[in-house]
Amino acid sequence: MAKPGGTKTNSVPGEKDGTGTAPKPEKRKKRYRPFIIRAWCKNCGICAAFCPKQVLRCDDTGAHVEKPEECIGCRFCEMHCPDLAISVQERDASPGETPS
Amino acid sequence: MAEGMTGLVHKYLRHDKKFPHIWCPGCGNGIVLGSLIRAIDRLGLDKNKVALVSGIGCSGRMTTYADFNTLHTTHGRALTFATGLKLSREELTVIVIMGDGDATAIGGNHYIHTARRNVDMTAIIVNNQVYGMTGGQYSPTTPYGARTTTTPYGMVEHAFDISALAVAADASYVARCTVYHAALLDQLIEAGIRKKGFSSVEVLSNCHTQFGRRNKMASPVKMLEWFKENAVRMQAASKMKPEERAGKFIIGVLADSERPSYNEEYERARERARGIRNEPKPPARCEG
Repeated sequence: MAKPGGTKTNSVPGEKDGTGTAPKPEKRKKRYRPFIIRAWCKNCGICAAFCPKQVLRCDDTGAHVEKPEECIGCRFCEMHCPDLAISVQERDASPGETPS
Repeated sequence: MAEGMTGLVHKYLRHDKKFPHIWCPGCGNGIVLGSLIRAIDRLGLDKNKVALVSGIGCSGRMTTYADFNTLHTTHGRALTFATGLKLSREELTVIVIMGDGDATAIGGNHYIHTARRNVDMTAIIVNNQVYGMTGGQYSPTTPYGARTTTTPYGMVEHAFDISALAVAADASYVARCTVYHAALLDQLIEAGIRKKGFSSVEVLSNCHTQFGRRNKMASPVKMLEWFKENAVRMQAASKMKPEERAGKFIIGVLADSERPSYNEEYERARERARGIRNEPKPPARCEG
């Protein structure tokens, strides 16, 4: 037995009844990665110690970006780098990309 | 040249100076410099209309690196030079960078009276709780029991509360923060600069070289963790018992009031002297 308003199956997914709102384009997740100005880094270890995703690592030569794909863009390292040597930038979100 | 937020900070630096800067690895002064520049940028101030005044100490080097109108003054007298500057060039946004030695020891009296006069400027006090540059002697803000080169058996005096001093002197805006809470620091400095009247922003900073090394916190990471664990927001602190508050750093806005600044009062007095305005009512006299 056909229900009243059975034309629902023809409606565009995401369209609300009668309002005519277009389906929202899928929101692309922003991706980030930190960059280090090596000449300014004094290897204090703050960035590596407080990074919530262990993106950065410090060794004898200074800070390194170890896992750029893990960066969530919280900018803690950028704001807390006492030498103003880290900048967090957005990177292209193409799948499978591993920036060097 | 870096991009993003750091690129923005680099725009306000004097790249003809020697970089990386002179401060020790992990020094909080660099974090404060970054916060200050971000706050100024967010306010959209022209850098030729900003005057940065500093005293003596590690924090005094900040005027060397930042590309504003800068004035590096004598020990403890940064506020007096800044008062003169503000009175003669009212259009400038005056920001004073001091250490705890500048603000509470050598320039303690200037600090109280600039707050009382309510001169329209922002004082940022980088409180590292020790005399870092001269070899780690104790300062008036060294916590009780802490070891320094001049208190090898522990500090016997109790520390000055810089922000409470400013509140007692009736400054328009008083805030405290730590270098760990850099995002909050940006906001507090911004609000301080926006405020008409005297604004005091105390920043607890790390001197792991002179203070931390003698107090079981020999790295910047350990000192930042100390700030993280012991900082309490103003709202949370008001619900705490006094004994729970011992050893904690209360951060956030501690006082925020509206009071005419010294410049406004002075201008009014000038107008009265010229006969433009009527005399204000004198205070009621005591009879008998």
